[in-house]
Amino acid sequence: MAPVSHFERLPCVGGEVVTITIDGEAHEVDSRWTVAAALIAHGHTRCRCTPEGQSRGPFCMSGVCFECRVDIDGTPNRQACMTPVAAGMRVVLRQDLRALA
Amino acid sequence: MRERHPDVVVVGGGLVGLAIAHGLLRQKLRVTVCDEGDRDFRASRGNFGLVWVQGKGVNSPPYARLTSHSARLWPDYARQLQRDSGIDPGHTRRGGLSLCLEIDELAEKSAAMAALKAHTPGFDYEVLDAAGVRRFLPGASPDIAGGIYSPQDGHVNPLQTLHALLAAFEALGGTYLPRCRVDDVSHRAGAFSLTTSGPTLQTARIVLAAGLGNARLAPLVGLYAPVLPVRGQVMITERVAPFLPYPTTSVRQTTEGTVQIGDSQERVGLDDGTLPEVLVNMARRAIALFPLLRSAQVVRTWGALRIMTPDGLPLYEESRSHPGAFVATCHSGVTLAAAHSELIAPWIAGNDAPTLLETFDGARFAL
Amino acid sequence: MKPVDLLVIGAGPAGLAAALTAADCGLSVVVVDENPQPGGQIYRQLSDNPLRDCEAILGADYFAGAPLLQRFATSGIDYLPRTSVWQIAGDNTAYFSGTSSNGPTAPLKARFIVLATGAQERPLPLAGWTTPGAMTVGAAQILLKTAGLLPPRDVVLVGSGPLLYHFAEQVFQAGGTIQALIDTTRAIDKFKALRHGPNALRSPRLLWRGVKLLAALRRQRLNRIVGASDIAIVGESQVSAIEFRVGGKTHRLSTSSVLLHAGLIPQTNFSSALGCEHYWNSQQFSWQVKCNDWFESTRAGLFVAGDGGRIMGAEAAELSGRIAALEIACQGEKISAAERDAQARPLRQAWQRLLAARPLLDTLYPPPAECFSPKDEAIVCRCESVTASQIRSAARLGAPGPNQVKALTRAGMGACQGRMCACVTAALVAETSGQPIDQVGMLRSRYPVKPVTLEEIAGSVPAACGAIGHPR
Repeated sequence: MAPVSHFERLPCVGGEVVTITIDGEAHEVDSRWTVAAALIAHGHTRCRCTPEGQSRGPFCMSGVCFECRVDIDGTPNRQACMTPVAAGMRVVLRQDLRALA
Repeated sequence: MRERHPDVVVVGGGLVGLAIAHGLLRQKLRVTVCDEGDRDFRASRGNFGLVWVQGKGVNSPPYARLTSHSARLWPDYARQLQRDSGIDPGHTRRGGLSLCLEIDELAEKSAAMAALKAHTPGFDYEVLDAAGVRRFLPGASPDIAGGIYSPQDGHVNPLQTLHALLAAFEALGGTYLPRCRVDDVSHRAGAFSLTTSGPTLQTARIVLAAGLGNARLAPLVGLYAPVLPVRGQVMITERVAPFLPYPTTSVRQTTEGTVQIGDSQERVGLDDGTLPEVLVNMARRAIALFPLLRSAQVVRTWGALRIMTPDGLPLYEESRSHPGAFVATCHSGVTLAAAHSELIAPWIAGNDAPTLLETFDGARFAL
Repeated sequence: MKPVDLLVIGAGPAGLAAALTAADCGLSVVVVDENPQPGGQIYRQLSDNPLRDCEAILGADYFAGAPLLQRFATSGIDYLPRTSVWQIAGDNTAYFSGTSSNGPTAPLKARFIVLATGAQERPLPLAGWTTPGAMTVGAAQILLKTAGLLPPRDVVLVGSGPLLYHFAEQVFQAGGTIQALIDTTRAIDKFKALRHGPNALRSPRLLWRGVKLLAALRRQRLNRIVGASDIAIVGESQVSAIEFRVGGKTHRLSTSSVLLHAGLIPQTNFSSALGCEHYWNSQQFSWQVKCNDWFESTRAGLFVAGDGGRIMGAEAAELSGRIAALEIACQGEKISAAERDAQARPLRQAWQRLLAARPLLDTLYPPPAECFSPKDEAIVCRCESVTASQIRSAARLGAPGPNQVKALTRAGMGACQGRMCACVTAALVAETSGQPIDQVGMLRSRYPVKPVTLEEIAGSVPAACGAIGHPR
C-alpha cells in the first residue's frame, strides 16, 4: 500500500542523520527521533494489523495506547513511540500474530 | 421484569450459580439469581478454564467419578449452552497434559494416575518421556522429565463460558439481580424470605452458590460450609500464533492466542493480589517447560481465590432443618459446570438426590 | 540495589520537583522514567530540541521548564531513563523492566514512593477513530516538538479543550495550515462557565494567555466549526474523510489526517493496581486518586503528585511535587513539622491560585458527548476491538461495572490495560443501567503496569538471591 498522509519536515538543527530500514526500505532519519516519528515522517500511518484484520497506526505517541507496536531488530511488538531510532535499526511492520520462536 | 416470587432463588452469579440456574430454567422453573457487585471476589473471572480429569479424586473415588462424568457431559452441554445463548463457550476435549520437570515428580504422578484409573471407569492416561511430550507439544523443552497425557481432559474459554451462561439465563427468562447482596434469610411455613441490598425476595427453594460467601450464608439455613480461600496467581501474555495444541495444568493457550500461566496455591486469606516472588517462580517454571515463552510479553497478572473445603472436595447438601435450602460449592466450577446443570438442577427441582452426589454432604466436616 | 528513602516514578515537572526538594532535604532519591530524557510530556526534548525555530513555534510555556531540567541535570540524583516499574510489592519494593546499559535493574526498596506518572489524553471514541491517520492532538504536538514534523495541510482537528487551540496556534506559527477545527463544545457550556469566572480571576495570567490565543487564531482565520454532531472518521487502512452534521445537514471534508482531543485525565493504572482509593471527580469527569493535603494517598507512604492525581497543569504539578516532598522529608525525620509547614505555605498558596482557574477551564471545555456515549458501531476497546454496542449488551445482561464487562467482552484486556477504554466502559454501564458512574465504579488495574516479557519477570530477581517464593 502506498503511503498517503504527508507530515512535513520543518527545518531542524543539530542531531545526526542515521539510516534505518522500514520493511527493508532504507530511510534517513534524525537520531533524536523515535521509531514512530520515523514511521509517520515516511508516510507509514498504518503500522500493524489487529487479529480481526483491522489496520492500526501510531495514535498517542506517548506510550499509552500500544497501537504502534512493530518488530524492531527482531524483537516483536515493541512500542515504536517509546523507542529511539538507532543506526542500522531494522523495523518490520507486522501483518499477523507473532509466532514464538 | 423483576421477579420477586420465583420458584428458586440462586444466591451467586458465578459459574456454579449460573450453571445450576441454567439447569433450573430448563426444568421450566422460574429462577432469580442474586449476585454481588463489580469488585467482589469472583473466582469465575480468575480461573484457568480447564475441564480436567487427571489428578482429580486420586484419593476420593466419588470425586473422581463425578469429575469424569461432568467431563463426559461437557461436549453436549457446550452445544446446549451455545444453542441457548448464541455464545460459544469454546469447549474442546482433545486431551491434556501435566508436565514434570523432575523425574521424581513424574514417578509420583504416574503412581497417582494408576490409583485413579483403578477406581475410575473410563479414565485413560499415558506416561510420556520428554520426547513423548514433544510429540503432543513441540514447544516443550527436551530437558523436562516428561508428563502425563489423558484423552479425557479438555478446556473451555472460561470467560466466554460465563458470558454464555449469563446470556442463556437471560434468554430463557431468568431474572438476574446484580448488586444484590443477601444479608439475611428467614424461613417460615416452608417459604424463605431473603433480605438483600436490593429487593426482598420470597421463594420456596434457595440454592447457596455464593462461593466464599457460603461460609456466612449456610448457617442461616441450617447448613455448614466451612470454605476458605486458596489463592492462585495467574499471568497472561499477549496474543501469539497458535503453538500449544493441548492444554497443560500450568500453561495453556486460549482461543484468542493469549497464553495463560499459573498453578500457584497459597493460603493468604481474602487477598487477591499478586506477589512478585510467586510470579518470578511461575515465569521461571513456564520458561523451563516452554523455552520459547521467554520473549512473550505478559500483559496482566492477577490473583483469584479458590473456594476450598477442608478436604478440597465439593459440598452439595439439602438442609434438614430448612427443607428447600441447598448449598453447592466447589473449586472446579468449570469442570463441574455440566454436572451442576444436568444433575443438581433436577434434584433441586424435586427429583431424588443423584447418587453421584451422595457423599458430598457437610456431615463429613462435623467434629 | 541498596534501599532508598524515595523512589520517584515519572520525570515530568511533578516528579523532578519532588526529587529535587527531597534531595535538598537530605533524602536519598532515585528517579525512574520510561522516556529517554527527563521533562515528561510538557518539557519533552527541551534540552536538545531539533526545531530550528523552536522558540517561535513552541512558545514560552515550553521553555519555562528549562531551569527545572537544568537543576535536575546537575543534582546528581540517581536517574533511570527508559525504565519502567512493572510492579510494586507490599513492602514498597519496585521491580523494573527496561534497557539499561548495565543489564536488568535489580529490585529497589523505597521507604516512600511518589507517583508522578502524569496525564493522558481522554479517549474520544468516534466512529472510525482507529483508522490509521487519526491520532490525538497530543501525539501531533509530540511529533512537532520532538521530531519537527508538521501535520499534513489538509488536517482536521476535532474535539474540545485548550490544547486544541494551543496546538492550532503552534501549527500556524510553524507555517502550517489547518483545514478545519471542529469544536464540540456547545454555547450552553460558555454560559455554564460564567459562574466560575470570578474565582478564575485569581489566576489572571492563565486567563490572559487564553484571550491572547483566541485573538491570534482569529487573525489566522481559523476555519472553526461549532455545534457538530454525528462525527465519523472515514477510511479503511488510511483516513480519507471526516463526516459530521451541523444544523441538520451532513458535511464531508476530504482529509488524510484527523487529530482528536478531549482534554486530559490522570493516569490511574499505578494507583489502581496499588489498591489506593479513588473517587469520581464530577468537575473533571474522571477517576482520581484520593489524597490528603500533602498528596499522600490512602496507602501510607505513597504520594501522587501532578496531573496523575488530578489535572492541574505543569506549574501546579511542580508545586505539588515540592509540597509532597516536604511531607516526605518530615515523615523521614529530615525536617520538623514547623519547617515543613513554613516551607509549604507559600507553595500551597501559589498552588491554590493556579488551581482557581481550573473549574472555569473544566466547564468551558467539557468532554464531547462521545466520550461517555459513543455510537454503537464505534470501537471502545482498541486493543481487543470491542464496540460500544457489545459493551451496552453486556451491561444489559446485568454486568454491574467495567470489571464484569471486561470478563464478558474482553474490553480492557489488551496491552494498554484499559487506558483507552476504562472510563468509556464505565460511562456506558452507567448509561445502560441508570446507575450513577461513581456507583458503577472503576476498572481495577493489575500488574504489570506496562507489559513485560516473561524472561524479564523470571530474571527480575537475580537467581543468586535465592529464597524465591518467600517474601523478603
